Amino acid sequence: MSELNFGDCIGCGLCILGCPAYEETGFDLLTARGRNKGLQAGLDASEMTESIWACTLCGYCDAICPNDVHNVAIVLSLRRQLAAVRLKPDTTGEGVDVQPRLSSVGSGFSRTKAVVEPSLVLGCTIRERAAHLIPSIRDFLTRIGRSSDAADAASGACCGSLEVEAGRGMPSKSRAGVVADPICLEQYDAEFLGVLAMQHLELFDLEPPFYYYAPHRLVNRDHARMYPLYDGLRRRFDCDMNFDLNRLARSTSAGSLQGLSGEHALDIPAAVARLLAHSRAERIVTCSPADYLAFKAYSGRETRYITECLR
Amino acid sequence: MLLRTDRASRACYRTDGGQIVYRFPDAVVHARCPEDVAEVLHRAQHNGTPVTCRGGGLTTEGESVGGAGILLDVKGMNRLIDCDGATAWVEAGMTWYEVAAALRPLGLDYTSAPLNLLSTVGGTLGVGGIDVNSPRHGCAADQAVELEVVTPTGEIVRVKEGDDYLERVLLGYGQFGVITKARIKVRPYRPMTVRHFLYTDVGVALADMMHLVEQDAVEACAILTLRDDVVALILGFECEPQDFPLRHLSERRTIATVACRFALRPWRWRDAGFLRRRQAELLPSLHNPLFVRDGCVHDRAVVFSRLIWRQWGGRRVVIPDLAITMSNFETAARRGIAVCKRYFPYFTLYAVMIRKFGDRPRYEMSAIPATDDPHVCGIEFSPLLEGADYSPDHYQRFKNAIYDVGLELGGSYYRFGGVMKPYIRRMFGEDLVNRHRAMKLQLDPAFILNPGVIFDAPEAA
Repeated sequence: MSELNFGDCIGCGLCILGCPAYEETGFDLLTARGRNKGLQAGLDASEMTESIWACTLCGYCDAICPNDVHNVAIVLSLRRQLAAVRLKPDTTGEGVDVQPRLSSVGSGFSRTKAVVEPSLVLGCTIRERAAHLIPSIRDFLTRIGRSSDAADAASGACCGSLEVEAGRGMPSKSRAGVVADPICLEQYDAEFLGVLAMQHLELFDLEPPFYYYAPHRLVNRDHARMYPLYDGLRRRFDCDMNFDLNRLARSTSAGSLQGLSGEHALDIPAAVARLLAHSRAERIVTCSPADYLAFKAYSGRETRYITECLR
Repeated sequence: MLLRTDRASRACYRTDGGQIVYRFPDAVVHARCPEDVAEVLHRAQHNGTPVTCRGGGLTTEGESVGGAGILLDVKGMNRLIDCDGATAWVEAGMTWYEVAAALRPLGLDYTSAPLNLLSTVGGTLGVGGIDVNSPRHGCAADQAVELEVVTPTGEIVRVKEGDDYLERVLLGYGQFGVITKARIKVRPYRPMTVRHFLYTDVGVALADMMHLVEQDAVEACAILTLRDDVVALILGFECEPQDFPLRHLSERRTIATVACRFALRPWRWRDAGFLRRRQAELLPSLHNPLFVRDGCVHDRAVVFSRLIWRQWGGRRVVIPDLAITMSNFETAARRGIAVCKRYFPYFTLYAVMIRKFGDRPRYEMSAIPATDDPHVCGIEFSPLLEGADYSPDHYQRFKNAIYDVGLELGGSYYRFGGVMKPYIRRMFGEDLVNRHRAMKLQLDPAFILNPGVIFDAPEAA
């Protein structure tokens, strides 16, 4: 349990600056600082359920923490504690909630696990809510010489990333070729389609002005590698982006457990409005499927998935 | 307005930036508008309920840690209301980071604010707010030209420059009302080019900084040290960097000088290891491409804020300080260094200068010492704990020893509330403190607003 270093939190509060839960509510309680201070005060998971389920695991707090507190790992651990409590046999006679907390996710919570090493993992969101993107994704991968055989499209299996984020499973980094949805990277050791796109910008028609939504979970969790890549896009096209003054990525929370399940969900339309408040770009481009759908639904602006911009 | 009494909500507020004082408040109120603040204070005044006001919670002496009573969190009041290009009318629960983020799309920046961007506007205006550009622009409290304030009895009032009540509330340490909106001066946003110059003698570095400030030669400057072995004068330029006849040493000569000092003193080799370790950690941070673009520091406060927490933050934030006149600057630094060496193996000094605008009433009983000089000086003495911890008594004795230097040299302190309150009467004198306390009692008859932080409650007096 040494990785759960909440005791190292010095309370500086830098983590609240880009916390989606804090942005929406203004409650310290729902931030990494709030959780860490609670844990330091001796509170247990059952006393902090609101805070534990408010976290969208965007990774902002981990990236900015000056003391390297592992805030995402702490939340996942607390969720596993809560899940374990719920799954214990009922000894009180009052009944125990053994129903998966997020059953509304539907096929996203299928326990089936793909056993073959797929060359392309599309993810549940694309398969079920944005299937029209699949031809352009395949087209892009073909053009850069990558196989576009979407193995999971045929089986309909879920990678289990939402189970991991709900605290009901441990990550099992299977190998895959390319992953199209950032949330699936919780379960796959693979290249991300959006990163491949950044490496082949010449293939896309990206006429400024536009707003590019960089996948927060990648940028914030692997900042040293990902930020220069997306900052390169910003410099080349002078586009607006979802980076804040700390050069970290702010999120809509659409691509989180809460956004995808609808339970404990933050106000996604409000988050979209906040992100676009200072951008006059009429076109939005992203490589994050859930955020693509959120911008499409709530921004009132033309929204494209990156592969829809292929020349 | 939302009132919460659950343990998790209260636990968030049981300590402050210093992490020395710990107390659970009875309840937390999240204020969203001035009317929320007014209602809380009106009811509290009637019931005699203590109210501790809190923004960023970055006090170090427990000033924003509430015990019995209500903890009033004002961070929910965080909107930029309007901006005319020269001033911005902002809600006082905005952190300076939020102010910077809101002004940046307009091509503007705040004028002067604390390096720690998590501080809120209201809290900062109540205590001062020192930036690296304070030698030119003064402290943050001198950037406010209009305020909306909720009085301790719950009235919402607006005051402008020249009004007595504005002078009471600015630098008033939260004793005379809760600032809910402020019109602050803004200016065009400009990235900053930062240069640092190394010294091995703090007196020479301070003299060079004072000379530059007197000439108004640079946009920003400050001094940071590692012990008193390596002293860095940091200069910030918003235009093309200039050369000045400074008495600094080259980096190579600095290292050679320090190495010579240590060579024949084996008992100091551990200090040499500390300096090398710090150098290895700090220098890459200064060149981090996240912060530096085309040779310029972008968003200076973001950079400094993050670096400061990473390099100088810790389980305990102990920062006794001295606010003094220019003539005592070097003496205060040297005597403070001697105190640091008695208590801790490793420490740092952060020395700044602050422009003073005449003899404003707000400076009375504040961190701006009484002097006719156009600038005043501040030095923070901070132990670098390097993983070690000490007893609370040890920290307190250290702070007392630094503050005793202040008593002997005259001047003031930045952090004189909370745990350090016993020094207030010794520093400012009975008459002045009694006069301010009488003003407090007139405005706050039940003595409910931030009680005990600066003044003794009536029954304890």
